[in-house]
Amino acid sequence: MSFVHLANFCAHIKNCTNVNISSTSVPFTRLHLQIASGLYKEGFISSIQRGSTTGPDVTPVDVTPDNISTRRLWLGLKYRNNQPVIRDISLVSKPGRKVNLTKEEVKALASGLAVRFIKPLQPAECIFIKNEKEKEVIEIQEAAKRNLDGVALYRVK
Amino acid sequence: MGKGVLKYGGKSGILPKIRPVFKHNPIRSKTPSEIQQESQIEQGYAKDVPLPQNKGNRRNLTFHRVQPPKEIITVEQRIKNTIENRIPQNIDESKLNNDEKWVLKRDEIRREFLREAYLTEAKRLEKLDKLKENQLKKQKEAEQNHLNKHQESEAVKLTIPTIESYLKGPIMRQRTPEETLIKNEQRLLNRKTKELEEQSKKATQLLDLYHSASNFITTEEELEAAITEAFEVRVTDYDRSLDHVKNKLNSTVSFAYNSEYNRGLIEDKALGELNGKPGLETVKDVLSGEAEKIKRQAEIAANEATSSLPQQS
Repeated sequence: MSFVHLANFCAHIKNCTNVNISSTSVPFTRLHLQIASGLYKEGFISSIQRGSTTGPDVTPVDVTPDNISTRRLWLGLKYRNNQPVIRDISLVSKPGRKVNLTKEEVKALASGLAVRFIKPLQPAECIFIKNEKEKEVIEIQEAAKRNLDGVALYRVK
Repeated sequence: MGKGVLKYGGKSGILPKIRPVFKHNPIRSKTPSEIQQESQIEQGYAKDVPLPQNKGNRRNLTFHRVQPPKEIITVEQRIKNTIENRIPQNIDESKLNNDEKWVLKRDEIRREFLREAYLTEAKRLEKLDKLKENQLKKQKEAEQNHLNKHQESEAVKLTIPTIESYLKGPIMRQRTPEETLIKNEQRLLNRKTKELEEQSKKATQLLDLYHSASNFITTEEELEAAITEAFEVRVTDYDRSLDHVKNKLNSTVSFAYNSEYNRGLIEDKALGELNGKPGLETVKDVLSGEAEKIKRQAEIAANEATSSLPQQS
């Protein structure tokens, strides 16, 4: 997993919402799919589609080593009253500073406390963490419920 | 009514505390729900806290980090230990006076009452347990109902499983053995084509070198002759080339020179030659004997044609 790719993803989404684009595409990787599905579950984006650099697939296409470079994940962005639903999306861990959270810290964050330099969660804000054992990207409230620890990836509001 | 009487709820004093019948040891083992509840309570001495020491006043006193579970004594055991085993044995009632007989009788009645009390208390506790169990069950059901009430939207129900199925398996399908084979063959073909191109290019360069070798100066006499020709016989050539260079520097394009050069190139390409000399293909044909064969066939054909001409005329 690369924080650089994650940073690029966040910056891309932010750029797109700043200029009110309806849908955008990101490279088709596991990390991107995990992040996108997290955003989709929390209602920050409206759709996730597989596709190529030309656009979303009309008929399903297999992902093979021959076409992986052109495969993309198309994300539908949400707007409300002419304002983007994603107001801000930013990294918590950075390539030079990895933030590992213990189970207690995850619970503290989920219950609205500040942990180290991470500012407390605001209403309508989510922090996503990656659990190394389960190898999945989870929202912090769910992680607290399931008593999981992990690396804090990014926060979105 | 006196002044301080209402203090005790209108009663004439404080009633004694209700004491449990089965005080020290439980009569049944713990239920799973009780165990689960107790596991959430933090109790005992923490890891780093040293245990208190017994200074010797009470010899039997030992300290544990966590309270050990109490021994279970069932109602039947209790009755056996405290009632049945204590019935006085081998008493000759005929030797006892009335008071002693009465004491015996009283003790028997007390034992009977105690047995009764044990059994009724056990029944009461059982009833309480059942009530508690029912309550827990209802609570759990209520929680589950609350969870069940929350329904995911139709879109989420249809889409989330698809995304999760992508995440479960590998993101990319690897090449099948057939595809791998085709890819390898393609790569081999590409490499060989490139190698061939490179080799023919080298061969052409070698041939070019061979052709130009005819003009190379290899002996002293030839060098002498060349110097004499350049500086004594063709003196004007030097001036002409100097003019040519000057012209070229002044004018942007030299049509005459370029057209000549281009014509040479076109001729070479069309005839398969190298600077007006036999090209690589021609050399190859000669070496393989192909040219000889074609020549012979052509001769035969020409002969046949000439022999058939007079018959027709």
